Amino acid sequence: MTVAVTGELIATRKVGAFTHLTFVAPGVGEIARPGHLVSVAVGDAVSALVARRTVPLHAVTPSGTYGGTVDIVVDGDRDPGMRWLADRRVHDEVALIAPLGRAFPLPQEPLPCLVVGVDTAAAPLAWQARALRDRGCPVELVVAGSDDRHLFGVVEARRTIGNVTVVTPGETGLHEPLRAAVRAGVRRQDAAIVYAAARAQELAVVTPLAESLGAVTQVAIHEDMPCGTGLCSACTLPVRGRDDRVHSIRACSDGPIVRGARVVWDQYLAGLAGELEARA
Amino acid sequence: MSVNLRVSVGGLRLTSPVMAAAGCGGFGHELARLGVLEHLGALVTPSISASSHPTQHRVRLTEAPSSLVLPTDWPTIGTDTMQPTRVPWEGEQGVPVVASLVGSTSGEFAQAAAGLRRRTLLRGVGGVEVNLACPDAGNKGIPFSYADFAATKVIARVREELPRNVPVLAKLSADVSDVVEIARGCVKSGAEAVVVTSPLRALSMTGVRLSLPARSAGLSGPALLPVTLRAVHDLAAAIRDGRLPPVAIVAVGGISNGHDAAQAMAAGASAVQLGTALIHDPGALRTFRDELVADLQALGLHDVQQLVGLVHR
Ligand code: FES
Repeated sequence: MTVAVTGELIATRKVGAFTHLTFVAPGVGEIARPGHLVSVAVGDAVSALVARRTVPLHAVTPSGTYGGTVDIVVDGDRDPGMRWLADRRVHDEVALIAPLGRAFPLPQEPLPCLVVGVDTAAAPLAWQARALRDRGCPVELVVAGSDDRHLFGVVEARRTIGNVTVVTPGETGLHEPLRAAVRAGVRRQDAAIVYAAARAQELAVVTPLAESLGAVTQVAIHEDMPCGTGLCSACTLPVRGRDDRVHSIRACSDGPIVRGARVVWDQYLAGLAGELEARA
Repeated sequence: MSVNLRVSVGGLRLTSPVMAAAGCGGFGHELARLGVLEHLGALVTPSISASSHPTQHRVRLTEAPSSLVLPTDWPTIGTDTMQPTRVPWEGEQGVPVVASLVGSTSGEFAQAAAGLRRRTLLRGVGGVEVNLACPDAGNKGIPFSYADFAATKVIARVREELPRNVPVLAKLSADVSDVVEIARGCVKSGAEAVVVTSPLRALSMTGVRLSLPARSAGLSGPALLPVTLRAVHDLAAAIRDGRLPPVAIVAVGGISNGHDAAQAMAAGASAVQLGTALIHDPGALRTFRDELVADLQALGLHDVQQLVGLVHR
């Protein structure tokens, strides 16, 4: 089930470098779960922007006072489409399609879990952590960002979950401190599952490490998704199937949550190389 | 006043003149999930080749003003790996399906068509669209759609492989010196319809550093609408003047809504395809009918076929 609505913006606030937006979107809250995506048409009828922007849902509320809402977190510095979204004012209307993709699976048993998020990809993690805790899973969180202004959800996570490690870049960048935090987090509680939401560069660091420490990884691919609905095939990532062959799947509709061990990270990063360099 | 929107495209009967362009409507289930499949007159599949061509590098889709830039080396699905018992368009039988064929030689196109037929993948396929914008390996990579001999040969080879009752649609490029000449060759070798325009030839660049490759790409999106209208208009005028045998014209490129479709049909198209518009907003299909009907009613027309080629009368 998917809902396509024109949602009115009812609240917007700055959170560090990011913008947190709340839209009225009836029907989404009843069916969405942590990890699901929302795809947004950016620019208006006379805009030059054609591709959509697809981001994880940060939170949802079922129909109530406001008739059901969805919350997202965007980085307005990322590109003109995100800027347009970040610049919306209360009462502006935006076309949304949600929920899209696969949500995070929850363990059947109350297993210890480590939840890791980088940048705006961390948006759905407090929600996921609460869902895990409701299952009885001991949960710890690692929140990372390129600086203090690019950390999302630390205060909320501290309040609701408690155990939060904050990671910002060290002398050699973000990867080393991230690796250290994940290693410590997995060891401390003997985590059975690591849930990680980030861009490919960080996921490619976290996943093999967590797997080598004996944890299963479920990763949320944070990626440019120009349609979000599975139509354009511009968000593919290579995964190894049960037959040991490499297939390409669409991050938006077949993901964004995949078993980290299935992704062929080298090939994925090589494919992204030009893109990453262009942004650097 | 009730309005008739039924059209025929080279023998393919559609309940509405709007089709999903190749590679922009998936195999149907994506649009079905969004609840808009029923608004389509037909669906053109993603690229089908003789054998699968997986992604070597990622498909990087970039934005340009009012358009999208798509690399030309797109992954394709091979008729060799498709399961005859479970074709991807099965279950979308309510909507006619047109298979989009690609290849790098006329032989490969023929092989893909033969694969469809021999493996009975033609089940549920109402027509075949031949994507002539593919680079021709035998002609320095110049797309088939830029050389009438190359285009003519591909269509003839594909036509030979398919039963007579399966219409062949030739997808052409508008950025050529004379689209009428290319279309004439395709019609002579058996195309029942021509589709214009493929994405315009473009270059995908993401920066100016030497390590960033500039890749061959195609430009599509709303920016193309006037180009599409021009090509459709020229083809229809050529038919009127007897320079091109009568053939159905399908407009693709920059059509975003029912009003754009009305213009394309007035210029001479029997049907239109939505591509980038579906990526931007699949919900465009919901309002398409009302927009088109409003334009028909404003003209006092009750049948969409009266609109086709209006500007040439
Ligand atoms: S973003 Fe278009 S298929 Fe995933």
